[in-house]
This record gives sequence, structure tokens and C-alpha cells, in this order.
Amino acid sequence: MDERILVVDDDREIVGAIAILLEREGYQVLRAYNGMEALDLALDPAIRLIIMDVMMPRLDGLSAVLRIRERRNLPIIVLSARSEETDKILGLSVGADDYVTKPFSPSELVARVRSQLRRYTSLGDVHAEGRRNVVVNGRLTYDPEGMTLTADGEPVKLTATETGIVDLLMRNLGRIFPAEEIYRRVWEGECYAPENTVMVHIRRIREKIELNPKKPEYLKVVWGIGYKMEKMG
Amino acid sequence: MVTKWKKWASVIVLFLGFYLALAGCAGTWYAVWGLIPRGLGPELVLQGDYRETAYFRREITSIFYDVLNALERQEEGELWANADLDTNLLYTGTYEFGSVPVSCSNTDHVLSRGLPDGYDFLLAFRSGRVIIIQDGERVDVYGDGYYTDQSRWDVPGYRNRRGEDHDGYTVYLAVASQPVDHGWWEPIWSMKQVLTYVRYGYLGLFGAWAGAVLCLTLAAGLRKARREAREAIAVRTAKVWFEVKLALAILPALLFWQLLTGGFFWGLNTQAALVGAALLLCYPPVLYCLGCDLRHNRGVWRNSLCARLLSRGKVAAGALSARQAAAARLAARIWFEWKLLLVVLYPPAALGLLPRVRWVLGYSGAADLCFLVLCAGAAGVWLAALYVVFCDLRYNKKPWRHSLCAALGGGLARLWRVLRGAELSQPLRRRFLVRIMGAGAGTGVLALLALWSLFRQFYDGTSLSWMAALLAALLLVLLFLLPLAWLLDRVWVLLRDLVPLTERLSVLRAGASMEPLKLPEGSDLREAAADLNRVQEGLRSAVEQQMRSERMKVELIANVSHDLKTPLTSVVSYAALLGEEELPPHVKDYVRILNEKARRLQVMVQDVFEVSKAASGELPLKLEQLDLTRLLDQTLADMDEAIRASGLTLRTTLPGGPVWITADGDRLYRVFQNLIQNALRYSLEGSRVYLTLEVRNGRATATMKNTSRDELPAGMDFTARFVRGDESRTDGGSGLGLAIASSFTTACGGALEVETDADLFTVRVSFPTSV
Repeated sequence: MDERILVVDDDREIVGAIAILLEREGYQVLRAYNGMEALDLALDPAIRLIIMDVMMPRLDGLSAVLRIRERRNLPIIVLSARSEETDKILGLSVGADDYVTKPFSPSELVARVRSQLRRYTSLGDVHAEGRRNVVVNGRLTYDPEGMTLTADGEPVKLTATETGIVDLLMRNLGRIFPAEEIYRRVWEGECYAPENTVMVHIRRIREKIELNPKKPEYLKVVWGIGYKMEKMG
Repeated sequence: MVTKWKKWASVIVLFLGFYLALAGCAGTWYAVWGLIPRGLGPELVLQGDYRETAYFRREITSIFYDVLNALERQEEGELWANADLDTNLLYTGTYEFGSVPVSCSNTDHVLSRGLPDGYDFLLAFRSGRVIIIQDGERVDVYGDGYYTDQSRWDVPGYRNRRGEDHDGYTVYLAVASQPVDHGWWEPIWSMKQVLTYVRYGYLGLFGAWAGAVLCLTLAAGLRKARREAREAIAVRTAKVWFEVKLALAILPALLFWQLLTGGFFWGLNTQAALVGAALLLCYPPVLYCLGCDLRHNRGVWRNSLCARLLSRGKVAAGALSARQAAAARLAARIWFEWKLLLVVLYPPAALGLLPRVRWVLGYSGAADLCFLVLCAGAAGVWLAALYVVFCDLRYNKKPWRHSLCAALGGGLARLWRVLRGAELSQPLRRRFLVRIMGAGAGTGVLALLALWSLFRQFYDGTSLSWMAALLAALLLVLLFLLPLAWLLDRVWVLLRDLVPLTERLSVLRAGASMEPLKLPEGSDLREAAADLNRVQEGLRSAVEQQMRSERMKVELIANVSHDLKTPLTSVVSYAALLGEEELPPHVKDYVRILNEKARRLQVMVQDVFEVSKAASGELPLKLEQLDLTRLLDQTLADMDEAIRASGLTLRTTLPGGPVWITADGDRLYRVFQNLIQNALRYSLEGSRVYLTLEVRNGRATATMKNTSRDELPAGMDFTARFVRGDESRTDGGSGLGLAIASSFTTACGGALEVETDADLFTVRVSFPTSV
């Protein structure tokens, strides 16, 4: 593979670790240690993705992202030690495609890189756009007719019950369903303790569709109310 | 160029013309209404012989009728007293009434026979007709024989007056050719004099009118000169105080009005007439001067005595003459009362004393001189005093400040302040004790005085009328009440000040900040209020300090956690990489430990960050309505695997229906997650954990009880940060679980309390339920 990834961080060891991880996956890695270097290197057309730290000398990550966005349209993953919601929103608003907080788990980072690259290359995919009834939500695409779910363009294998839950939630993006309702509509019956049953299945679906099942982004619990499929912008 | 004499002449001529015209008017008025009806027309001026005048004819006719009337009344003898002196007019009248003739005469001459020597005018009345012979010639009396208004002689005998019956009457009147002065009472002499005067009067009148016309013409010709004169007058009048001008303008008018309306001061007599004339003469020039002033000077009221007195303080030191300055200095040393007494009371005293001195001195020439000198001296002293006072008022600032009254007042005020200061320096309780004692003593003294005076009254035997007794009693009661009223007033003031003070206390307790409390000067609670203000200020600054340090702490922790995270990233990454390498088993074990500890460190860093944020109240919250029952259900379902793996039994008692509260679901999930993790981690193996939720009195309380594996230390705050039951243990927890649970609960508006009873560990999380 000749897909080049630009990794920018003022901490050389972190850059090194990320480079090892990505090179092992077959990507070519370019390294930069501050925002200015990143700007210079980002012009290389072979670069498919950028991983950018926020707090850097000379030019900080967010400003660099802003400037790169003026020139290029490619996925950018922002790395930051700040884990608060406001920081995340700020990062995404300047044009980043994903936001990963430090310290990250290596496998999650690799998964996110892969996901971004796949989405980026499959954007012009005819097979998703052709049908009207297809529900596209971020990384996920659901075809209600065939009842098939794809994550980053790869089909997800689901059991019948899981497919029922996904069907319900993907058809009603952003709507919160209490466990009883999910149970009633998927299992089509009453149950004494639906919460446990539903939760088990939710957790299993997460394992299949979420990049980090411990910090779900799509299938969320609304504590004290129910469950929902987050609607991605 | 207008010469000086021309300038003033123009004004003088104007006024001369004005007065002459005025006199002419008055004279003409008198001539028209007073002289001409009496036959004293202006033709007199040209008439040399007085016997040719209408006045003469009227007078002679009236004498003729007098005589005729006397004969009709049958009076005899002489008609007028002092007739023997009367040689200017001779008369004889007879009336043949039967056999007894009536006659009156003042002469022995038989006038029917002819005029005596020295007489040249004869009026004879016989058989109803009048014959007049003047200077030997007969005068035509009747003309055409009919009487008209134009007829010269108004006598009987006209054809149209036939009705009058004068048969038998004979009257002869003879007038001397050269009348002798017998005094005003005598008709002929007086007539001659009157005629002379009237003739001069008419001459004067004509002269006045001529002069007036001349003068006014001249004045009209000198208009330009008069303009300059007006300006010159204005320059001079500008120096006069406005008050004086006002008085000059108004007072004469008032006086004149008084004179016209009956003479309030004088009555209509010669004096009044003189004063009136003088006013009339002086008033126009005064008005003219004032007119000039008004016309040419701006702000005529500015130069007034009032303005000067008011602007007294503004006079620069250089503007004072040496004499004025000395007078002002002298005046400044004297109390104001003395000056006032000297100026006001000195004249009456002097006027009262001087006549006595005069009497003592006697009335000799030397004494007169002495007295005059004395009077002059007294007047001089008064004038000097007046001058000094004037300088004082004009140049010294607030001269009344330096007075006996002011000095006494100042002393009293100082004494009062000293006493009040001494009183206020005492503690409040003692202050009021002294006041109560003072009031009591005052009342007692007054009572004693009253008793003593009553006793005196009765002892003297003077019996009081009941009215007087009542009045005295009332007075005494009032007097007794005075000290008590004073005391009550102080208490009232105390209570009045107490209200804002207590209000301030409650406000302070509520934590609101307010302006410092200001009680009036001399208030009993002023010190207390100041103390309260200091406490409030201290509290405010302490809270501020705490807020600042809290914020700094959070910032510090945020920075530290950030700084920790960066190296931690490397550690985690490389440890993960290391774990994937082919290594000997024991090295693999080391790597596993590294991985595990690195992850724990990561959790701890995040927990520390969050708990410190929550503690400082800067945790972002998304409060919404949620069902606590469901939240617990979900949490248990979420942690199902961990619970199963722990080998513990979880007994839950949840209500059948929803329990709605307002909280942040994500945070509350963390709370219960931490609590359950805690229970799973520290419970005795195989024991039971109880989780109940109940709603009571509008509060939903979730209670979790578990039996601790280790002995719980008594009296420990488990919600404090980095606290664990067993301090020496180093298991998976960060020691922040309960601290996070507690601070998140508090942040969401709930309460978390921990209770330990032997090995029983109880946590209660309670929230107010929402409807």
C-alpha cells in the first residue's frame, strides 16, 4: 500500500509509537514535530490522512488544521490531552473528522485511522447512493430492505435479534426507546426484566459497530430514560 | 463739539420750559375758572382806567343793590362798619314810604345836588332809572333799553325788566377819583388792588407762556446736547445704589398721593402745600435722572447695597483702603452683639440722655456751646460706629460668626461632643445603665424640687386656686416626663438602629453582599455596625480568596493532568507494543503489570481531574428529567458481568413505577457505577449487597448496604479524596470512587451520605423528586 499518513506531535516518542503501529498495518508514515512542519508536508498529494496533536510549539494543531482545510480535503484525526466535551466540539468545528484523547489505546487509534480512510475512499461509492431508502449515519449505513448494516463500508454480521434492534434504532435516528418498547417491538412479547436482556444485546452490537465499545459513539444509553442511535452530523 | 455749558443748558432749558408751561397751565386754569367769570378777563391788561372794567361795574352794581335791599328792609343808619373812614365810596339812599321816609347814608353831602370835590363817578337812581355820570359826562346805561347778556350795566330800569317796582327809592353812589388805602375790607380800594394784581398776574401768565414756548423751542433745538447730558447724568447715577434710586422713584409718588388723598401726615395746610409744591418741583428732575439711568446703564440693579453686602467676601485685599482695612480689623475683634447694640441702641439712648444733660448744664450761652459740642460728639461717635460696622459687614467674612452667641454655642457644642464621646466609649450596657440612672436622678431632683415648692406654698399659707394647682400639677408632670422622654428617645433610637442591623445579619447569613451599613453619627450601635461591616468585608474577602484559590487549584490540576497524560500516552503505547513482542514468559508477566498499572494511572489522572472540577463547581452539567428506577436498572444491567464475576449476591428492591428526578444522567450513572464497583471490590466474599430505592417525603433515596471485608476505621470521612478503608492496600481503586460519587451527586443537586455500623457500610444517595 502506498497510502501515506502524516503524524504530527511535538513528542517524538508518541510519533514513533504511532508510526510503528501504522507501519505495521502497511501505511507509509510521514513525521512532523510542529504545526509549521505539518503545513509544509501536508501539501504532499500522496498523503491520505493526518493525525494532529493540538498542543504544539510554533503553530498549534487546531490552527494547522484550519490552514490545511483551506487547501486539502482529507481526513484529519485530532489528538489531544484534553478530554472535555467543549474541547472535542472545538476540535470538530475547525474541520477535524475525529477526535482522540490521550492516552489512547493503540488498537482504537488504528481502528479509527482505518475507518476514516475507508469512509474517505468509499465516499463516491455508487452502491450506497443508488438506493433511496438506505439510512446513512456517519460510519454506519443501513439498508432497511435487505436489513443489512455496514460499518465503514464493511458488512456487519448481526444475529436476528440484533438486527431487529438495529432496524428499530436506525429507522428512528436520535429517538430514545425505553427497554420495554425495544423488547416489545423486537421480541414481540412482554418480559419481566427487559433491561438486562436489552442491555446484553446492546453491548454485543456495540462490540461489532463501535470503534471503542467502552466509549460508544453510536449506540448510546440515555441513563434513566432508554437507548438511542446517535444521529451523526 | 458740544460745550459743557451747552450740555447742561439744554437740560436746564428743558426743565425751565417744562415748569413755565406747568405754571402757565395752572395760571390759565385759574384765569378761566376763577377770574373770567368774575369779570376779570385778560382785557384788564390793556384797560388803564379801572372804572371801565367789568369788575368795577359788577362791584358798583352789587353795592347799589346792597343799598337798595337795605332800604327795602327799612334799615337805617350806616350799612357798613367803619363807615366814617370810608371816603372812597359815598352813598345815600332814601325811600318815601308814606309820611315816614327811610334813609341811609355815610355822608353829609347831599349827593342829589352834585358831586363833592375829589369824586368823579356818580350813580343816581331815581324813579326806577339809573343815571351814571363819570368824569362829568353822562354814561349811556341802557343802550337800546333791553337787557341782554351783552349789556354793560345789570341795573333796574330796562324795558324788559318793567316788573320791578322801585317807586319811591332814591340811591346815590359817589366814587372818589383817587381812592385812599383803607385796607382790604374796603370795596373800592380792594377792587383797585385786585385789578392791579390781576393785571400783573395776566402779564406774568403771558410771560410764562412766552417763556415756556421759548424754552421748549430752545430745548428742541438742543436735542443733541441733551443726549450727551443724559449720558453724563447716567454716568453719575450709575454710582448711586439701586435702593436709593428705587426710594427716590417711589417715595415722592407715595407722599404726593398721600397729600392728594387728604394728607395723611399733614392735613391740607400751608406746610402740606409747600411740601407738595417742593415734591412737584423736585420729582420731575429725579425721574428724568432715573430715566437717563435706565436708558443708558445696563443692569442698574447690580450696583445696590444688597449686592455689595452679598459680595462682601469677594472684595480683594488690595481693594481696601488702609482706613477701611483698619476699621474692619477693629470690628473683627469685637463681638457682633456689641456692634449691633452700639448701632441700634445708641441713638435712642443718646436722644434720651441728651435732654437731661441739657437740663443739668443749664441754659446759659456757654452751656449751649457745650451742649452743641456734646451733641456733635455723640453723633460723631455713632457715625464712627456705623462706619466700623459697615466696613465689618462689607469686608469681613460672616462677621456674625464672631459673636458671643456663637462662642457660647461653640463651647456648648464642644462640651456636648466631649460628653457624648465619653459616653459612647463605654460599653452599651453600661451606657444605658448610666442613662437610666441619670434619668432617674433627674426625675428625683425634679420631684424633690416640686415637693419643696408645694411644701413652701402650704407652709406660707398661701392657698392656691384649683386652677393654679392644676396648672402646677401639669407642669410638674411635664417636668417629670422630660428625663423619661429623653431616655425613651435613646431607647427608640437604639431600636431604630437595631432593625437594619438585624436585617443585615440575616442578609449576611443568606450570603448576599451589600453596601456597608452606615448608622448615623452618635448612634449607640454605630460600633456594632462597623464591626458587622468588618465581618462582612472579611467574609467577602475570605470567600473571594477561597474562590480564587479553588479556581487556581482546578487550573493547576487540569494542567498537571494534561502534563501527565502526554508521557502516559507514550507509556501506554510502548507497553502495548512491548506486549505484542515475542518475549520470555516472565518478561511477558512484567509487561502485563506495566500495562495494567499504566491503565490504572490513566484512570486516576482522569478521576483526579473530574473530582477537582466537580468540587470547585465547574463541572459542566446537562440536567434533565430522568427515571431513577430505570437508571438503576440500566446500571445494574450494564455491570451485570462484573457482578456475576464477583461472586456476591446483589439484592435489589426497586419501586414498580418510575421515580422522576432532575439530574445529569451520565454523571449519575458514574455515581452508581462507582458505588457498585466499591461494593464489589471491598465486600466480604460471598456476602450480600443490598440496593433499595424508596420515595419518602418528596425525596428519592437510593441506599446501598454491603458488609466490608476489612474492618472499617471509625470516624472517617469516606467521601474525602484519596480515602480507602484500608490505607495500606494498593488494589485497583484510585481511592476517588466515593469522592467522585459524592461530588457528582452534590453537583446534580442531590446528597450522598456514608454511614458505617461495625462492618456494615451504607451509602445513601437522595434526590428531591420532580413532579
